[in-house]
Formats: sequence, C-alpha cells, structure tokens
Amino acid sequence: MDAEAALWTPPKLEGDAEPDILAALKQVPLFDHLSGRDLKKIARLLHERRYQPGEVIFREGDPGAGMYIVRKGKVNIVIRRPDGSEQLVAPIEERQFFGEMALLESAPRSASAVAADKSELLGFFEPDLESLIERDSKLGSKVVWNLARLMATRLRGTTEMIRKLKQEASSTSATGSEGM
Amino acid sequence: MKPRLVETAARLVPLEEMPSLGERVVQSIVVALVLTGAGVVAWKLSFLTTPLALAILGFYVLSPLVNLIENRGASRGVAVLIVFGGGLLVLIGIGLLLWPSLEHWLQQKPSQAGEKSAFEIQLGKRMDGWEQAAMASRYRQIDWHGAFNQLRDLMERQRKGLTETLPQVAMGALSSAGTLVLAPIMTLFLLIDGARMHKAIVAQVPNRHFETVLTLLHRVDRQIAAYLRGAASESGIVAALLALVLAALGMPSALLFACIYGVANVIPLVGPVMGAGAGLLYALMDPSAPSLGVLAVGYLGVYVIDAMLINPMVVGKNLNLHPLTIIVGISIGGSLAGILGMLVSIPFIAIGKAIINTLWDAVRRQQAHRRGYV
Repeated sequence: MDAEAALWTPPKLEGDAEPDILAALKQVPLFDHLSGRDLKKIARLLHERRYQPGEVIFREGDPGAGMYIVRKGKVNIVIRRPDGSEQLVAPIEERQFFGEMALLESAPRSASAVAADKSELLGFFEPDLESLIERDSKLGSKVVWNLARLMATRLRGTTEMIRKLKQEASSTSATGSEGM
Repeated sequence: MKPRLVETAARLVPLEEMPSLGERVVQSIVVALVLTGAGVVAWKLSFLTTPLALAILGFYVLSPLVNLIENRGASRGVAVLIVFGGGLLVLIGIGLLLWPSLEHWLQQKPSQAGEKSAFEIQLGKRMDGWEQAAMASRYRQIDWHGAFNQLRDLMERQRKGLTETLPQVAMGALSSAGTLVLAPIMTLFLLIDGARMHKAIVAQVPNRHFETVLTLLHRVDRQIAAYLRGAASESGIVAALLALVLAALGMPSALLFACIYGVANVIPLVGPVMGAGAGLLYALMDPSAPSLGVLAVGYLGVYVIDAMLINPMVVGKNLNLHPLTIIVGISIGGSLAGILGMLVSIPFIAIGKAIINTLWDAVRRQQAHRRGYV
C-alpha cells in the first residue's frame, strides 16, 4: 500500500474542489440547476491546463474534443477569412467558456482559440461527459439537457440574426430602388 | 448573441512551427531513449507483467458492473466491494460445484511401478477394442497390430513425460501464485482509482497534443473494452451452454469441462480445439463417459452455435485477427508464460491492433482536416 502511495500521488481535485473552481462552474449555463455535490463531481472530472500568452489552445479545423472554462486569464477566439486574414471574434474573460459544441460531435473547430494572457483553463471533454453518463446517468442527463437548452438558445439567436439581416437587406434594396 | 468581429493586421494565431531536421533527429533520439528505458524497466519488472495483464483484463470486464451499481447511488468504493464480494461468492460457488470432480481425480491412486491406473486400464481396453475392429475391417493388408503397438508406445511415452512434468508445472504454478495474488489487488485499485490515475497521466501531456491524446486514449479504451467484454460474455455463455449439453449427454464433471472450454474459447481457432480436446481425452479414459462420437457432435454443435449466433451477437464487430497472427501470438505467449501466456496473448494482440487502428485513423483524419482547412 505504501509503495502504491509512493508511486502515485492523487491530483488535487479529489475531495473538496477548490472554491474558485466551483464558483467558475456555477457561471456556466451547462451546469445550471446542479447542486453543490453535483458540481463537486463535475469538478473532479475537469482537466486543469495552463497556457502562456500567445499559446494556441486549439486551431481552426482541428477535430474538437470538448469545452474550456477560463479560470484565470483571457482567451481570444479567432477565425480565418478566405483571403487568409484573421478576425478576432470575441475575447473570453474569466469564468466564461468556449468550445461547448465539441461536446456533441468531434467536428472540425470553427475557430482558433489563443491565450491572450497567462491563463488557466478547465477542460471538460466528450470522454468526460460519456464517463459521467455511465457512472451517474442522472447527473449526466442534467448536463446533456442543459447543453440542449444552450444549443436551442444559440439557434434562436442565429435565426433572429438572420431575420434582421434579411430585413436590413430588403430595406436597403427598397431604398435603392426608390433612389433610382 | 451577435459576434463582435475585430479585424487585425497582426497575426493572432501563431503559425504551426514545423520542426527542423535537427530538432526531429533530437526528438527521435529522445523518443528512442525513453522507449528503451521503458523497455528495460518493463524487463526488470517482468514478474509483474502477468498480474498486471490479468488486473487490466479484470478491470475492463468488471468496470461495467461497478458503473451500474455506482449509477444506482452507491459510492465507487462500495460498488467495487459489492462486485468483488459477488465475484468471490461466484468463484466459491463454482469451486464447490467443481470440487467433487477434482476430489475424484485427486483420489485416483498413483500408478506404482508395474501397476496400471484405472485410466490406463480403460485406455488399454478401448485400444484393444479399436484394434480388433480395425483387424476385422476390409483393410486387412495393413499391419494393424504393429501400428497399434507403436501407438501404445507413443501414448506411454507421453504419459510418462506428463507424469514427470506435472510436479514441475505444479511447483511453477505455486511459485508464481505469490505474484498472481497481486492481480486482484491491482484490479481493486484500478477499479477504485482508474479514472484518477488516467487523469493524472493525461495531465502530463503537453498542451499542443492534449486534445489529440485524450481523444485517442478514449477511442482505444472503447475498442479494448468492447473486445474484452464481448470475449468474456461469449466465454461465459458458451461455457453455460456446453455445461447443459455435456450434462444432458451424461458426461462426468460436465461443469469442469465446460469451464475449461469456455476459458480456452478466448483463443480464436485453436481454443475450441484445445477445450474440446480436454473433454474428449478424458472420455477416452473414463468408462462412464459417453462415446467419443456423441461427445464430438456435442462439442461441434456448441461450436457452430457460438460461431453462427453467440459470437456475432455478443462480440459484434471483432478485431478480425489474421490466422497467422493468432498462431504466432499463441506460440510467443506460450513460450513466455505457458498456458496463461497463450490465453492472455490474443487479447493483448487485439489491444495492440486496436491502438494501431485508432492511431492510423487519427493520422488520416488529421491529414484530411489539414487538406480542407489550411
């Protein structure tokens, strides 16, 4: 037993998760309506990763594996335009998250993520979600349900945006034809 | 939420740096050194190989049960203890069922010099019967008497060899029993802390390769789990079916021979022959056993049902190992660790194939993505 303990030291997250990790998880809609006990279970699954400024977290086109929550620091989400130039889509601040689409399918990443500052991220990946569903299906289904709700909200937002763009385009074309 | 697009002149995503030739050489040397070091350590700790291999097999086979109990609200530790306790009870139950057959064997008088055992007498009677039948057949030009005398000599040599080897085999098994006891202890730790150990190991992977390694490990894990659980379920079902068939045919120690066949069935191609061979050899020497023909039909029937129904349903998409790979694998496993090595070699070759398949698939996907996106 002593030899086992000497060979392998358990990671810090076992038992009580650090308070700031639980606080970060509470900010993520994916973990809405979860009890403190449930959040601790999720916290045990998370992977802590540290990045230097300018270090790439993932690249556009790489197969996605899961989502990240910014524990400390800042992350830039950048897309590449057809002409090769880059656009900063959004800076992700502390306690915000990104990459959650990859929890559902390992499709290519639609943007790159780069650490803007020295950053600490918490990763929650598809294998972790699968493991959660296998070992605690009740909690797993709550997370999947939240993920579905999040996707529905995103879809509604995108539909609304398309509707507005269409309206703008039609009003612009109407103004143009009046001008002629 | 409308995305805020900010156009920038400076490069936000650093270009992926391709290592120079020198860096590649250094990387290759480091990898070779690490692999050599790992090989040396594995060689030095080779006494742990068999219990570790058994522990990994045990972990994969038992973890779905542990997960199921954990899913019902029990803590991981309690779930593991329930599965271990249940497994122990099943083993004790099988032991109690097998004990009468084993006791019968153990009580067989060892043959003294010049004295024949009951088995030898029975074998002699059967061979005499076959010789008379052969001599009465229409192929009378064959020297049946000489042929059967040669066969008797051959079997006697084999019997003597086996009798002399058995004590050595028993001593070997006893000496390795100490390390084999480690297997259930290792399985226990893997079941309780496997997820934490996995997490601690992947935490060491550099950021650049983290997602790839995590995904690859997950895919390999799924493939191995599916294969091993399939193989274990298949063996269990086949053993239960054969026990019923053998008992119906009136075979003594039906459960024992069904268990032997079930375990041997893990080895493709050769396994069923070995398993059936044990039962047929016993029947050759025991007057109370059914005739060899009836038994062979029973074994063949179970083999066909396994190949046509049980294997496709339980194992599903198996790893389709080439027959030559199986034969070479069994030979290497047998030369390294005897019968246990033969049993464990095929699952480990399958695991190796799963890893290579997954890595190859990942490399092809990565190349396809690069072609589409860069």
